[in-house]
Amino acid sequence: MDKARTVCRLTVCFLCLLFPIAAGIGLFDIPQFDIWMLRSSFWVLFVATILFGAILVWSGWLNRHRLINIIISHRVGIVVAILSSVYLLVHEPHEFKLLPHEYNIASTARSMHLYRTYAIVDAGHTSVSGSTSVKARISEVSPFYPWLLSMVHGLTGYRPGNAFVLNGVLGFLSCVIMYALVTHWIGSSFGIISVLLFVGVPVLHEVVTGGGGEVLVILLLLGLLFQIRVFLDHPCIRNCVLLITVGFLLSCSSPFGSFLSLVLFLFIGLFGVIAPSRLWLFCLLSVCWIYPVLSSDWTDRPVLTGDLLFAISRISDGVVFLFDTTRSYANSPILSVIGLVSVVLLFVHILKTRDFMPAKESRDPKLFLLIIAACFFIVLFVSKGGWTDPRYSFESLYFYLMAVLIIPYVMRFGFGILYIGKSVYLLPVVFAIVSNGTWNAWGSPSRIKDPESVGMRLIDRFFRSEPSLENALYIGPGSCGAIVRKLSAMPIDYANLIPERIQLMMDLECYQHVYVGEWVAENGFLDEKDTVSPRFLLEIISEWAINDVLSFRLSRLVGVSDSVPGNETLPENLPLPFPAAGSPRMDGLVYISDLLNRPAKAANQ
Amino acid sequence: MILNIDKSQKVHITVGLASALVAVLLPFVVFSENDSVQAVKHFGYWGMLSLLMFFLWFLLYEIPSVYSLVKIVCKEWLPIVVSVLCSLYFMAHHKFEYRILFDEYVISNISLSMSARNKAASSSYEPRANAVVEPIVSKVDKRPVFFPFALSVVHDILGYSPYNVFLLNSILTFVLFLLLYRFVSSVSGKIWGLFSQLSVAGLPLVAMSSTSAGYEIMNLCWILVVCYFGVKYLFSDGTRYLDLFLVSVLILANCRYESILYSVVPVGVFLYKGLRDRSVAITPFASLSPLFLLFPLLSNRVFYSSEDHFQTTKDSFFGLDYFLKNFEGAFRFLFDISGIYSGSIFVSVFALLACLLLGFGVYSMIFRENRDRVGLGLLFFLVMFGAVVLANTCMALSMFWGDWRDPTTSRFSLPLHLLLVLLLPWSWSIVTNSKRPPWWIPALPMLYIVAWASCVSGREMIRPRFLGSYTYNKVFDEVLVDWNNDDTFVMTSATLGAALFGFYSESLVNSEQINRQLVNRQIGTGIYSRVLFSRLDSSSPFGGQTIDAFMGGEDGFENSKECSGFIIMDPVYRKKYMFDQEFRIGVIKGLKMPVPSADTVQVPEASDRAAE
Repeated sequence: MDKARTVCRLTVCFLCLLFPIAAGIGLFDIPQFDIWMLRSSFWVLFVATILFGAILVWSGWLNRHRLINIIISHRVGIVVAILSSVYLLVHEPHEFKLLPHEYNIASTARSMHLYRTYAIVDAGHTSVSGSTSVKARISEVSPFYPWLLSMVHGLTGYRPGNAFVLNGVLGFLSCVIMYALVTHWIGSSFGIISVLLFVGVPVLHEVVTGGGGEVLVILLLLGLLFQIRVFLDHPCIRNCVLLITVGFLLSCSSPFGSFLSLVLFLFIGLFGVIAPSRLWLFCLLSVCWIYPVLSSDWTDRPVLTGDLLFAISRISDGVVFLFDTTRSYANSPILSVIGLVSVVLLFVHILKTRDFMPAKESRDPKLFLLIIAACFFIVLFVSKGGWTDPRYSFESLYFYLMAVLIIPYVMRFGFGILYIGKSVYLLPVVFAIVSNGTWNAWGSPSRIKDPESVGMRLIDRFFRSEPSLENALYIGPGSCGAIVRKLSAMPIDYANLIPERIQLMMDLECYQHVYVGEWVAENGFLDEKDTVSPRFLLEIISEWAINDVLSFRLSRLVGVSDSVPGNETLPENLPLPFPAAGSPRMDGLVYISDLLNRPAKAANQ
Repeated sequence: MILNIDKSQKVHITVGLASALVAVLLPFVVFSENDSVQAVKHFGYWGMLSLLMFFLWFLLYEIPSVYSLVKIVCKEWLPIVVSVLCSLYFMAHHKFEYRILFDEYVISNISLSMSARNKAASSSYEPRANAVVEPIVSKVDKRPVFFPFALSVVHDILGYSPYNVFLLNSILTFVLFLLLYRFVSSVSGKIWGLFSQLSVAGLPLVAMSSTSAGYEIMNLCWILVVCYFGVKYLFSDGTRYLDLFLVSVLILANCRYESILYSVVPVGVFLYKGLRDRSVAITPFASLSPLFLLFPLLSNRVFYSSEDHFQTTKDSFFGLDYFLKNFEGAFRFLFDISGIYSGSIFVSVFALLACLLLGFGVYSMIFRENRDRVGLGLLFFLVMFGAVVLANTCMALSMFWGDWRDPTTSRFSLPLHLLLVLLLPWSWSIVTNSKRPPWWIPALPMLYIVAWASCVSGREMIRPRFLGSYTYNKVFDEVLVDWNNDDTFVMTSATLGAALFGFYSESLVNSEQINRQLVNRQIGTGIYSRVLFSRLDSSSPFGGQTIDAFMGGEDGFENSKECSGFIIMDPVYRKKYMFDQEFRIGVIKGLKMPVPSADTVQVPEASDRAAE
């Protein structure tokens, strides 16, 4: 009877989960979803987070008498978490690292802060004391981190550097949750070991000091694991709603998050702790997962394109990354080895006990097993690149996260270690120290870096270094980042459509300088839309060589040449007639704004 | 109805009426316009000082012991923390800067003069013999002088800096939140106190004022002080709190032009209390207090003494036509949901709810005879206070410059916004006679701040407004800071800003001949390594009128046409702001040959002009 009921529950859960999965892989389409997402993303996340926060505060209020005692009894762990989070912040420069991805996040956060829209502003006009968005597109980054960043902007004022403050705080909270999770599970000394092991991972240092949302995913994943344990122990409605909201926020934090949260809910269904009276809640809420699933771009994932060979090559990439000892990657080979051994021992442990029944005592190894399987699936079939590519190396954090959770588990239940001597704490500290090191403002010198990010970080430094740039126009890649840095900017293909208008703005002295940034590749692999029109007369300021074949060039625009046959500007993109003489000043302002607005594209563009 | 008035009280009342008569007759009948100017200039500082001393003196009697204060702080830590956080929230969103020019330059300049010479006048300065710095020209302004006085006290304590005004306004913002809590919690309970604090924090307009150099926040603070002591007086026995109430009203009347309207509140409250208690009690200070209205009335006389004080003419400064036009603008401002103005839809909507609640309360009092002493008293005070605020608002809307959608005039709506914020707690208290509303009430404004007000504040920062002030701030921050102000002399049409930042300066006037002699004299002294001339040109590239403005604010651009043509300049700074604004600074090298003219004007000596 119980078995039949479990199967029945599992089937219902699975069917409910199929709904968002079907939407994700494009089996059905929701009309006008993009527009809805553009306008409503902020508010959806606002409601979810308020619900989450309210329940959290309520729980805290109910346990307020215990909080002081908890803090006092775990003072050592809290001090370790604080020191560890400080350690996370000192090795890498605090700046945007993976570009243009992190620019997109910053631009989305800015749009959410200023306009409450889920958009990236590619072209914008910034005057002495104001800023106008000229061209925006719907954002492609997962919405929760930009939303959280927009909240930070909202409460502390807009500054591009708020992303680094937020990530520092999230890094600290991750250490605290990691400690709380393992302590709740095994014991406080193992909690300290986990935190010390975790902060030794160099890729974590990179993400905590960058402008991306990876550390938020880690925090929420840890939070979800913690809440699953709490919910399985006390399956009340409050814990249930808290679990669902954490899962929802995790799913809005990254495409992997939505996948992992679905897997974890499947786990809860497997354990059958959902009372039949609450099953409807899960079924209803699974519809909510359509939003995060559709907000992630799944279309070019290997699992959907059927490129399995490419997917399997990730295995070799992963192995190279995990066990590399040349310091070329942001890995921790010691932790990789210990983690892999622990995973193998966990398998042995599960096979040895052969306990597949849903019993409370055996759920933890099964939970690990499920997450490891999910991570493996992500790495193989969902990831767009291998871990050796610096753009995707952060995905190894899921592996390291599992490793630092499994290692103490295996120590405790595999080897039966009940007590850890203080000298054992030294080991992860030594691992952390030998794995990390910084040379200059670029981070670790021997580490392989993404050439595109390097080029755009150079231009980002240029944006920050010149105070006079507030009255300048930037044309080039990373225009959304320039707008984040309070410049006027537009992409190259946009500027190529309106050379006469740009010339007119130069004549009117709307900008003191017009800068053009462009990639220069010897083998000419650049897209046509990234190539500056030959009509722009440029004066090179500097050219930074990224590698043997690629460099980034920054020039000053000195003028625009006349068009030649075949290269004319579309008539609708030519400057409009001047406003009538003596017309109000506002007409002039509107005219200037219109010069940058929505150029028409040629039929072949 | 018989009132119990003893003999001594009759004397006090008679003295009070006589003082009121003197306060009205002196500025408008006895004094000439020049007398009024001189009275404000020479006695303004001392008048404000005595008012402040009276306030502190009376306050000391009411303040409990230091130990009790510490206990109160420990007990009320939450509103204190909220006040700190709300103040920091304002500062995080808005830059500290002079925004409303030329008003804020004048106020700060007067404070400089009050600090240095105890004179309530704005001046430009030059060095004389033995390194004594003297004002070249002093001008008494139309604005009441309590805020410049308070700022001068800050200068006296911390040493002069043009940025002290931001420190003062930051402190006042913190005090404003504390006062809000104190007043509302005393009337309606602690939860409503927190509600009102957070409601004001969600008003970007207050944030802008608190980071500007104007007197708006001080005005709000004193309105709250008046309300607090007014209610205290109303519900206390005899004359307790009367002196504090009156002195607060007097200080408030010296904060802004229109704030003198609040002087009717104590009269109304006094009469109400007298009729209610069937007895009249008045203190010696209260009987003499109308004399302190002399200062705002004298300032009013100064205001009407010169056409220069009106941007239009005296007759066309106020008008019904303006009111009708501005009323529509005010409605749009108050109920804007697009976030393009700096108001708060939250405050407006909740004020509407409060009106409904209040209507129900009044109905209940009239028809169900549900009248208790406290509720009736509060209702009366609310009606008095609300009527004054509405009169104040009508006055602001009747002015030619009263469209609140203009960011430079939206600050005139602040007293109304304060009333709207107070309305719901006040109405709740009147209707329910309870100080225990639902605990989640403060969460509503908090949610509004997070969801919407922070976005509006962000937009305020990127909207091209206050362009003129932005340009001047940039110039002072980036350019003039590098120059030694000992050997630099600034000559422009309005030099208040330059004087504020420590430069010797002299204003040019509306006559080329006089200006020639002024410039000649300064470049002939040989004590300055550079005599600067600056101008902000606004010339449309599309063809249109050129407007000049000068370092000192937007005033005086008419004069600039008289002096820009004959000066030979060596340009040292030129920057284009937007498409049509250009700021230029040049070192005066000489003057072009004058065109012969029949009449010659003699320039009065600087000392003579200073004496004017």
